[in-house]
Amino acid sequence: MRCESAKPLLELHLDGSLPEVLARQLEVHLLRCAECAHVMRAAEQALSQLKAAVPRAESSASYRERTQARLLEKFVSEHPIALAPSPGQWKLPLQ
Amino acid sequence: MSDYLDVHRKQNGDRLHADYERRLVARLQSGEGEALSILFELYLDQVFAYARHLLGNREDAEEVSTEAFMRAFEKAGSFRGDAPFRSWLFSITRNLCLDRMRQPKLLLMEPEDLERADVRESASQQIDTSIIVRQALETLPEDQRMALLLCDVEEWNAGEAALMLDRSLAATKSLLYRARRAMRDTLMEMLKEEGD
Repeated sequence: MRCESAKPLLELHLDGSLPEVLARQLEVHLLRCAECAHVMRAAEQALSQLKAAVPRAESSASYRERTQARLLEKFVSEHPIALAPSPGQWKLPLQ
Repeated sequence: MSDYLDVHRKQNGDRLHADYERRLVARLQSGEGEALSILFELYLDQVFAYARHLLGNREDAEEVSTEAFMRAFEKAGSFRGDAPFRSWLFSITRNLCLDRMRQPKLLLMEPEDLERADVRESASQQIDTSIIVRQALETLPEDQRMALLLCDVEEWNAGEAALMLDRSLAATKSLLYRARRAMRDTLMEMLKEEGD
């Protein structure tokens, strides 16, 4: 594999999206080519810096509970025969 | 992504998830409150994460998320199931976010973000890097930035991101890879300048 073929593949290699054969060829190239290996390290570093700088967006438990109760209250008022679940029933059945 | 959704997908696959979602919507349409609660639990994390990253603050993201579920559940009776329920919900979310973005924005960075940066990154160099990363993110076109945030920060698979962004899978992957390349180049350049 040559540098011009390797470089467009580096970002795909980050999340394991490359087919196995291509990934192996790229890894061999990275062992032999210092420049592409440097770019690959920079790509990995950029990804870890991104994860460190930007936290995942997590809704708070209080928001979740408040909103679920509000939605349910509205729904039950619009569907008089609807039965609101007890808190224990809110778990998703996986089977 | 919701643990429920993640576990359910892993155990049942996307097709079975779609069947399960259809049954939930049918139960919702027949007035079962439990179905509403499950649908809310299934998709809240995705709706909230998209809104939070796009709008840039928690308060707007919470308001938009609440409104999106409100509208989706209100109109569930007329939902025909031509597309997955979540596509419909995500489309409502996107439109609400766009409306919100047209309004004047007052808050650029939230106190909780600053606190987290203080606690997590005590060394000044790490704080600098964090600021540089955020600046680099801002230079990306919005669609690339969102693909990057959803896939690399939130760790959604590209298919889920495509659904939220209303793009094909191939287009979403292309956005993601272009964003990663741009971030890599910008960060290399910015950090090099910092070091000079």
